[in-house]
Amino acid sequence: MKYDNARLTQMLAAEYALGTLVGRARQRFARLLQTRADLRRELQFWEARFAPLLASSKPVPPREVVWAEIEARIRRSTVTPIQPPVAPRGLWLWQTWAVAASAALVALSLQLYRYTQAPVAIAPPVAVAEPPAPYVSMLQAKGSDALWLVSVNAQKRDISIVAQGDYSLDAQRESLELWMIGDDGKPRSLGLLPLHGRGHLQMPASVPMPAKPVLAISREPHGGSPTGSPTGPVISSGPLLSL
Amino acid sequence: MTDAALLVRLLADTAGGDQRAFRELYQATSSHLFGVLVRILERRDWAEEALQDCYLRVWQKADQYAAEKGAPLTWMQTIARYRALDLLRMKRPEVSIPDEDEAPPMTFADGDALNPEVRATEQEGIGRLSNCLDELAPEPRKSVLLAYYEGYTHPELAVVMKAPLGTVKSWVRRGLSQLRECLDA
Repeated sequence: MKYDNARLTQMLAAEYALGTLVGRARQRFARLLQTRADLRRELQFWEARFAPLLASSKPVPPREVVWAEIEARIRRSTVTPIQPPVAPRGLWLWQTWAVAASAALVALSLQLYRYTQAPVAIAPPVAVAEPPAPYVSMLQAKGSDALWLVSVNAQKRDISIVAQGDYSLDAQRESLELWMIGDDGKPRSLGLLPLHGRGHLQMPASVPMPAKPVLAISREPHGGSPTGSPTGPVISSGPLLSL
Repeated sequence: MTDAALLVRLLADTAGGDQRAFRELYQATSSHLFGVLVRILERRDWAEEALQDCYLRVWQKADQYAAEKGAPLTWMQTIARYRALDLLRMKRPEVSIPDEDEAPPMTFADGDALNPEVRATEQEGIGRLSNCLDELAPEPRKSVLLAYYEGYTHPELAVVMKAPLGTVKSWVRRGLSQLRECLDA
């Protein structure tokens, strides 16, 4: 395995820290970081050595409105509207997953809701142009603390994903794939799901936005399902709710 | 300058879900993160979007901060820098590199965007890194600094440095491996 070559891994860590490692090579390295303490140490070496350059950047105060937006985003992510699961007809399997996943969603939103209980002096709302309401979904993997927050901007067809927790998977051999279950009950691939951190997916033009969208995650061979339909176990699914 | 011990406490309280602490943390650190974002992204709208992402991440991941990850502000600025790089790769296709002679659209960074060496060496306290950078040949040094400060990729560096891609890649590699030897010494 070429990642065992010490000089090469040193260079990869350095280029990752510098930012010149891009695209798939960067994603691959980020995945390796999850399991390889030696790579994390090497990366920390570079981050620490480069840190003085960071400290040298001149502080620039952001506009007030940015804080208001952050607060709004936190409120949106902590107080999630609880709705009965919306499942397509036809595939009982997906329906079962949707119910299980939305139970997790309820449990989680209650937990998160507690954070917002303490009364906090909140800045008066600042008028901001209202962006089109995004769709959001929280997908929790069965039997794991891994959680994906997925939001879909149907107009821009942009899907942004925040992964939390750890889902154990041999990333060399397997991938997680995100599916949109259409109103016809058919799953259509949206792409591969990041295991950690944030990611963006472009919603393929061939995938229509269903009236009652449901998302699902399946475990697939590395690189995604070879058939275009889910082939492995579904680890999570849930409704995509409009905010 | 912000007090590291105070920031450590604010991060710990934020990890516990304390929104007041989070707000205080934002007030104490946001201009330092925004400075990093503005420098790399050069566009206020992108930098603001990235700043939101960073603080959402800090809100969610404050519990992952640990002393061995460096000073709290450095940890947060590193999050900001990586976020800026991701956003840059996503939003700036490799073709649309600002011309060296032309200010990039909507820029509001200082005029010395292409003179990172001046900025790096002007600063005090860089000490060892600065000495090691000084030992590099001009091209590797400029390549490394441009990649770090401006977030340029290899192809972008090739355009800015007016050199073939392969040459630029080897400048970066040589710069990094010499830096490592020097910093390790």
